[in-house]
Amino acid sequence: MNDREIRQILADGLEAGAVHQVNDVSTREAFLAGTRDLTFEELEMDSLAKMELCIAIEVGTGVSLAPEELGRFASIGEIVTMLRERLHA
Amino acid sequence: MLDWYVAEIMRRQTANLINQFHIMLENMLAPAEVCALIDESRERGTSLPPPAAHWLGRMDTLLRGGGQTVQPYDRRMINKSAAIYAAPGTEAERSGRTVVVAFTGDVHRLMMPIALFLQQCPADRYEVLLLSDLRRGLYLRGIEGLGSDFPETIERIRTLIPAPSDGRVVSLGTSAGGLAAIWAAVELGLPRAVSVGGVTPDEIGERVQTQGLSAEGFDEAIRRNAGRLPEVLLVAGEQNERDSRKAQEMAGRLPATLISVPDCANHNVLHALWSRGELGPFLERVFAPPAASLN
Repeated sequence: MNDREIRQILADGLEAGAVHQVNDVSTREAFLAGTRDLTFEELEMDSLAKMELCIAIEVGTGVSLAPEELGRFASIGEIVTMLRERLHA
Repeated sequence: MLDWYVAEIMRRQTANLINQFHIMLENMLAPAEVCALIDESRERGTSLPPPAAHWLGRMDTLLRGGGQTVQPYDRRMINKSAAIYAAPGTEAERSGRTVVVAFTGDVHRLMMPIALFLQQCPADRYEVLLLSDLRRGLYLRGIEGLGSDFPETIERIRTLIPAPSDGRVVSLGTSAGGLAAIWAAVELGLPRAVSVGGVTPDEIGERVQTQGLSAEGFDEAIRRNAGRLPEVLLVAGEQNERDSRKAQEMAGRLPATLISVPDCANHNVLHALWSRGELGPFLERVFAPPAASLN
């Protein structure tokens, strides 16, 4: 699984949680291309959005992450890095 | 129903997959259905994994905490995108109720579990037609099973609600359902549309899911129905700049009343009102006939 595929899974998870920033065409494309990160501070995700993100990660990659664990990451880009390392280990 | 619930829980091996199932249930089940699950689980002493036991306990508190009466809505699925919630009643009883045509947002709920929302709407006074756009296209591609575009979908909705002469019907849209609620009210001749944190046509060109689509039909419907437009209420948290700006933009397209919810920076205005114990009275005001509302 390459970085773009990982980012697509995360974008789909954010979309499922109605995180509106990821619906923006230019933001989505820049995130998928790896030229734009999305911080948790700017995303202002509620508990449902965090659940949807974790569900998407698990269904898409097999990596289990609990919503409470998202606090370890400052941005979605950091989750991409973690997933890349886990999937390619 | 408990047997089905337990079977679904048991075939899901992780907390995330159990959460996924619960989200689906929260987007669908009526209050009495959730409470029946809770009661049956207790009566049988069913052993459940912690996430399931936690969910049932939390839903019990949300729906029945403080001695709340469980609203006796029955649920009838029209298809996977549309459902009618109505308590049993005689024709006379049902004709006296207000029908709420509700367009959900991108998470396919009205900013909270459907059962929790319905608990705020007395079942002897309301019926709800709940609609979801599973493709998250602001309803511009219609609703699966009802129509392939929004005008076609509106005509199908017309067959599911009382005629204006036969009862009071209002529309409600939350977030991504806001534009659809207003558009439907304009075309169906409803007296009122309520949009909570609702999208505007200006967002169509910016959204991934709506590229190549337009809301020309919305503007055309406004022009065609000039002089008989619904009363449009645009609700936003007072401190939520994005939603307040969207409400201003929508008010530039047709006459509307802006309602700012004080001390609320949250997009999820309905949940904020619920947490203050103000959601029931709020809904009563925004759904009521004009003379009794907004003052």
